[in-house]
Amino acid sequence: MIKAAGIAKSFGRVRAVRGVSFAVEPGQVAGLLGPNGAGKSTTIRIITGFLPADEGTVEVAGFDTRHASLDARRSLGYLPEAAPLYPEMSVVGFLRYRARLFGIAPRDRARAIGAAMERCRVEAVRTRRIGHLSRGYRQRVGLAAALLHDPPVLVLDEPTSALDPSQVVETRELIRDLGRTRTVLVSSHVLAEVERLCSRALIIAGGTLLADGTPAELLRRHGGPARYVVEARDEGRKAEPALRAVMGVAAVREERTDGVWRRLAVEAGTDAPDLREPMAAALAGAGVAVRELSARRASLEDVFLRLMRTADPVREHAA
Amino acid sequence: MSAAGVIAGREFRSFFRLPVGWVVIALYAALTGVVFAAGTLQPGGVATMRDFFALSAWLMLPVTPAISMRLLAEEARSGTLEALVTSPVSDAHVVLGKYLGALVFLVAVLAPTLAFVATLWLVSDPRPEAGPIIAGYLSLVLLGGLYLAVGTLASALTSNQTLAFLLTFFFLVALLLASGTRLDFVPSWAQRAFYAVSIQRRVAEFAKGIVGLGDTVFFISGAACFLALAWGALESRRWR
Amino acid sequence: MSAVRRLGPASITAATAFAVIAVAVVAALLGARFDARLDLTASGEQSLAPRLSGAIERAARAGGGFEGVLVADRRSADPQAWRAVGDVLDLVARAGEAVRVTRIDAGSPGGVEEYRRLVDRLVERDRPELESQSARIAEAGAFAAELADWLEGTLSPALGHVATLIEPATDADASNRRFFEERSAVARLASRQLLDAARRAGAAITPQGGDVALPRPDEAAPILADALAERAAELAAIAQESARFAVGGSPPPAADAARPVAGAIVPLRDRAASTADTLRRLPRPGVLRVAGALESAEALLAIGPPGGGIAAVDAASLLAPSESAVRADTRARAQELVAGALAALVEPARPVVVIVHGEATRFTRTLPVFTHAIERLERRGIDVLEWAPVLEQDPPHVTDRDRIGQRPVVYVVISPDSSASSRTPADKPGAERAATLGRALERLADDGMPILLSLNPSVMPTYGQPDPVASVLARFGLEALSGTPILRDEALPTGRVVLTDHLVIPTGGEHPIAAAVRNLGVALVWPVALRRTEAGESATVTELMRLDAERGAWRESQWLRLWQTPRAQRPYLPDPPVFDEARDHRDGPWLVAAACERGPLRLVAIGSNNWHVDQVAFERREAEGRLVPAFPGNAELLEASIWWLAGQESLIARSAEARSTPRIRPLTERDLLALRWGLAAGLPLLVLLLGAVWRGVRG
Repeated sequence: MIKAAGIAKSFGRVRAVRGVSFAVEPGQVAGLLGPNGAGKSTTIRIITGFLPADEGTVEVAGFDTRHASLDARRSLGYLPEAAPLYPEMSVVGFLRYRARLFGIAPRDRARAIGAAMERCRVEAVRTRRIGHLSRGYRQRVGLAAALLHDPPVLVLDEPTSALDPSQVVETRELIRDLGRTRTVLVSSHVLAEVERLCSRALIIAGGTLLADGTPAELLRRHGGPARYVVEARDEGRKAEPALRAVMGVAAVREERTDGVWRRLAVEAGTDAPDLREPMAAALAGAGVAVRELSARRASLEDVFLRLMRTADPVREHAA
Repeated sequence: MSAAGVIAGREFRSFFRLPVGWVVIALYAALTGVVFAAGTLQPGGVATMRDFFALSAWLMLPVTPAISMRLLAEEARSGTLEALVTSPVSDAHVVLGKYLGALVFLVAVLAPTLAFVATLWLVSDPRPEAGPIIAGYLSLVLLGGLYLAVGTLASALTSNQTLAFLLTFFFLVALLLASGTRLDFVPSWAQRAFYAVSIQRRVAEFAKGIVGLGDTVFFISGAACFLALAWGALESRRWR
Repeated sequence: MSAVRRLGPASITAATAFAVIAVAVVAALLGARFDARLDLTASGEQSLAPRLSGAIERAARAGGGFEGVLVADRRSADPQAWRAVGDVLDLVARAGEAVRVTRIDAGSPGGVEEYRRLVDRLVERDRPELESQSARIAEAGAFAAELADWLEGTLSPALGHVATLIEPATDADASNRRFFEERSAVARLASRQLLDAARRAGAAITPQGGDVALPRPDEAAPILADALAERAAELAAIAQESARFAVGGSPPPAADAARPVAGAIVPLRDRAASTADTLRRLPRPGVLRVAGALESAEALLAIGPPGGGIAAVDAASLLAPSESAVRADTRARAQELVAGALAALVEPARPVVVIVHGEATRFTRTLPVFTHAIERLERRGIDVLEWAPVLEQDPPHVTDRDRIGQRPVVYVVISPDSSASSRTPADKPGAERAATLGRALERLADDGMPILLSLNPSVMPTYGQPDPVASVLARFGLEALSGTPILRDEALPTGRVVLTDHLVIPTGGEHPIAAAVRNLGVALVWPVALRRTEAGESATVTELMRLDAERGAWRESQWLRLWQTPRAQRPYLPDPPVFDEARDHRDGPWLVAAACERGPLRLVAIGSNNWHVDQVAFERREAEGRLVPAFPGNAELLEASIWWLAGQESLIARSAEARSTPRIRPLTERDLLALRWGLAAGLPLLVLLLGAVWRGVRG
C-alpha cells in the first residue's frame, strides 16, 4: 500500500507540490489525475524515491521511503513515463539484467522473466533489440520489467499513452487484473482512461490534491448537477417554461436549433432525483413533440473541470 | 557488491553493442599505432616500450573522456537513470558499477597494443625485458582508472554528454601540463607543488620498470576520491 | 530531470576544477607516505647499487648539503647513455635530501644560463681563497721583480767588478776570473728569467676572458716557485764560491771585493727559497681543481657543502655510445662513478700522488705529457707533485699539504729510456738515470711507500745486467722481462708491418683494480711481460691483465733499432724485427699487469710505460659523429691503481658486465613499411571490422 502524508516539494521558487496526503490500499487501482504541470510527475517521483520531499513522509508497503529506502524500492515496481529502456539491449537481455539488479535468485529468474513476458505479451519479440521495437512494445517491455520481481506496489506513469486502441484495452485488463491483489497507482492525464480503469481517483492540480475518492463518490460530490438533453419540435417555444416548471429543474438552455427541432440542455439542481419522467410529462402536457430525452451522465471530466474552476486560478508562489 | 557487478557487466557489454565502443578502441589503436610505428619501431634502435608508455599519459587523454562521458550523463538524458535510481540499488553501487564497467572496457581498449609488444618481441634481438613492460601496462591501467574517475564525476554533474567530455578533457590536460613542464616563471613553492602532483613523472617511473607503492597509492586514492565525489553528486539529489 | 540539475555549466566547471585540485593534493599527500619501490628490471638497474646508497648515507651522516650536477651537451651525447645517467641521477634524488641533483644541458640556451650561474656560485665559494692566494703571488712576484733588479743592477756589476780585479796571470787566476765573469752573466740571465716568470705568473692570476674567467693562482704559483727555487740554488752556489774566494783567493783586492758579495747574497737567497716553499704549499681551491671540467662544460660534478670540496668525474666516457671500446653497462658505471665522486668528497684524506721519473728536468707541468691525467686526478681531490731523483735525493715533502699526517702518498713511476745517450756532458745517459731511479724505488719500497710502476723495455739485459728499475719487483716474487718487449705484426698490402701497440680487454676478477677495468679497452705500448719467480713467499701477487698471444705476438730481443726509429718511419724500416726461434719467445699469453702486496707494502706493476700519457690514455676517436675516449680503460686503470695503493678501495668504480641492450633487428624496407602500416592503420581497421561483424551477428 502507498501512504503519503503532507508531501511538499519546491524547485527554487516554484512550489510544485504542497500538502498532498492520501492512502492507496491493496486491491485498489488508484489514478493520479491532473493536467500537465499539476505536480503528478513530481508526486510520482517522490513516491518512487527518485526525488526527496521537502516535507512529509511517504510509506510504500510499510517502509518509509526516506529511512528504509532500499526496502521501499524493493517493494515497488515502477514504469516511468515514456518507458526508458536501453535501446542496445535485447528484450530478454534487458529483463535478465533487471532481474539480477533486483536480486532475484538465479533459480527463479527464468521463471519470473517468462511469466512477466507472457503477461505483457512480449514473448514474440524476446530476442529483438529494444531500439527496434515500436513504442507500444517498448511500453510493454517496461511494464514487464516493473513486474519482474512481483512487487506488492506498482506505480505506472502514463502506461497507455503510446498504445493503439486494442493494446489499450489489453493493458487496461492487465492493470485491472494486477490491481486485484496489489496496490496500483496509475498516473494519467487522460480522464476517460482513469475513469474506466481506476477504482480510486486522486485529482491533483496546482500542486494540491483537489479530490480523492472512488469515481462514484467524486461524481456525486463534484459531478455537479444532473444534466439532461431534450430534442423537441418547439416552434412555439413552450418547452422551456414547461421544463422550468418541473420540480428540480434549475436551468434550461438552448444548445442549438435548426429552426424546427430544438436541442435543449437542462440542468438539474443538486440532489435532484431522476427528472426524466416529470420532464416527459411536462413536455407532453405542453404539447411539444419530443424525439430525444436522455440523461447525460456526468464524467470525471466534468468533475475535473468543475474542480479546476473552483480551485485558485493562479498557482501560488512560495513566499 | 553484486549489484555493482551487475551494473558493471551491463555497462561493459553495452560498449560493444554501440558503435562508440568500437570507435574508441580503434581510435586508441590508431593513435598508439602511429606512435609505435614512427617512434619505437626503428631498425637498429633500442627495443623498448619505455617512450611509448611515457607518452601514454597524453594518448589516454582523448580516449578516456569519450568512455566516461556517457556513464551517467547518457542515462540522465534518456531517462533510464530514473529507473536505475528507483531500483533497490544504492547510489554507491550505481557509481561503482558504472566505473568498473568502464574500467574493464578500458582494459579492452588497451588490448590491441599487445600487438606492439608482440612485434617488438619478434623483431628485436635479444628479447626485450618483460619487467618494464608489465610495469608500463600497470601504469596505463592505473592512469586510465584515474582519468575515468574524473570523467565519472563530470558525468554525474551534468546530463550534457558534450559538457562532460569537455570538462574531463580540459581539466586533465591542465593537470598534465602543469605537472609535466618546467615552469620557470612560477614561484618555487608552486613548482614543488606541481612536482608533487605530477602525473607525468610517475608514469615515467613505471615506464622505467619501477612499481612504486607511493605512486600506486596516488593513482588509486585519486580515483577513489573522484568516485566518492561522484557518489556525492548522485546522492545529493536525495537530500537536496 | 533537468530541473534537478540546477547548476549551470559555469558552476559545474568551477566545481570540477575545485574537485580536481583538491583530490590531486590529497592523493599526492597520501602517496608521499609510501617509499617502497619494486624494481622489475631484470638487472635491477633501476635500484641504487649498494655502493652508491652507502656513499649517499655517508654524505647524509656528514651533514648533507651535497650536490650532484651533470653538465653536458645533450646533443652530442649518446641518447641511451644520457637517459641512463639521468636515471641514476633520479635514483640519487629519490634517495633523500643529502644529495641534491641537477642536470644542465649545456647545449640549450637555458642550460647555458644555468651553467654560468653554477660557475659563478662555485667561484664565489672560493673567492676569498682565490683572492688571498692571488695577493700572495702578487707579493711574491713583486719580490721576484725586486730580486731581478738587484741581480741585474747590483750583483752582476759586483761580480763583474771582482772579475776585473783579477789579473789572468796564472791558469788558476784565469779560471777564477772566468768564473766571476760567467757568474756575472748568469746573474743577468737569472734576472731576466725571474722577470719572465713574474710576468707569466702575473698573467696567470689575471682572470682571462671566456666562459669561465678565473684567476689561476694554481698555475702562477709553480711558475714563480720554480723560478725562485732555481735562482736560489744558483745564488747559493755563487755565495759559496764567493765566500771561499774571499777567504783564500788572490789577488787580495779581488778577495776583498768578493767578501761582501757573499754576505749580500745569503739573505736574499734565503728569502727566495722560503718564498718558493710557501708558494709550493698553497693548496688548490676546489673550483680550480675542476676548472678544466668547467671550461669544457662537460662533467659530473660532486659539490660538497660550503667548506667542503668539489670533485669532477669525466662525463665524456659516461655519455659515449656503448659500441665503443666500452662494453660495460652505462647505468652501473654511472652509479659507481657518482658513488666514487661522493665518497671522495666525504672522505677527507685524499691521496697525494708523486710522479717519479728518471728525467733530468721537471716536465709534468710544462710538457703536454700528463696534463689530462693530472687534471683528472686533481678533479678527484688528489694533489699531484713531481719528483726527479736525478735532481733531488729526497722525495718532496708532503707534510705541508698533510697537516694531520693522514693523507696517503702514492708514487707513480715512469721509467726512463735506458737506451738514451747523454746529449750534453752535463746530462747523464739513460742507463745511469735508470739506475738512479731504481735505487730511489728501492728506498721507497724499504720505507713502505706504495708504488705504481710502469716498465719500459730496457737495454740492460742485453748487457747481461738486470733492469734496475724493475729490481724493486723482486721482493714480491715478480720479474719483468723487459729485455724482450712484446711485438706483433700485420700483413698490409704494402708489406709486413711490425706494431708495438696492443689492445687488451681485461676480463675482470676479484681484485678491485681488475673489476674497475673489466671490459674497458686498455691500450699498451711496447708491452713488457711480467713473470713470477719463486722468491716471493710472503708476498701476494694478483694478476690484473693478460695479453693474448693470438695475433701472432712474440717477445722480441732485437728491438732496439725499432725503438730508436721514429714512429712515422717505422713502416719503412727495411728489415723490421722478425721472430727468431733461437732468441725470441712465443710463450704467451703474458701477464702484463699485476697487483702485489707484501705485508703493508703495496705495488702495482704495469708492463708498459706510456699507457697513462695524454696521447694514449686520453686519445679520442670518432664514433657515430661523436668524440669518444679510444681507450677508456687506461684512465680507469690509473685511477683505480692509485686508490688501491692509497688503501681507499671504496673509491674505486667497478665496471659491470654489460647486458646487451635489446635492439631492433635490421629490417628490409618492405618489411618495415608493412609493419608500420599494418600496425598504425591496419590494426584500427581490423577493430572496426570486428565491431561491424559483432554487431551484425548480434542483431
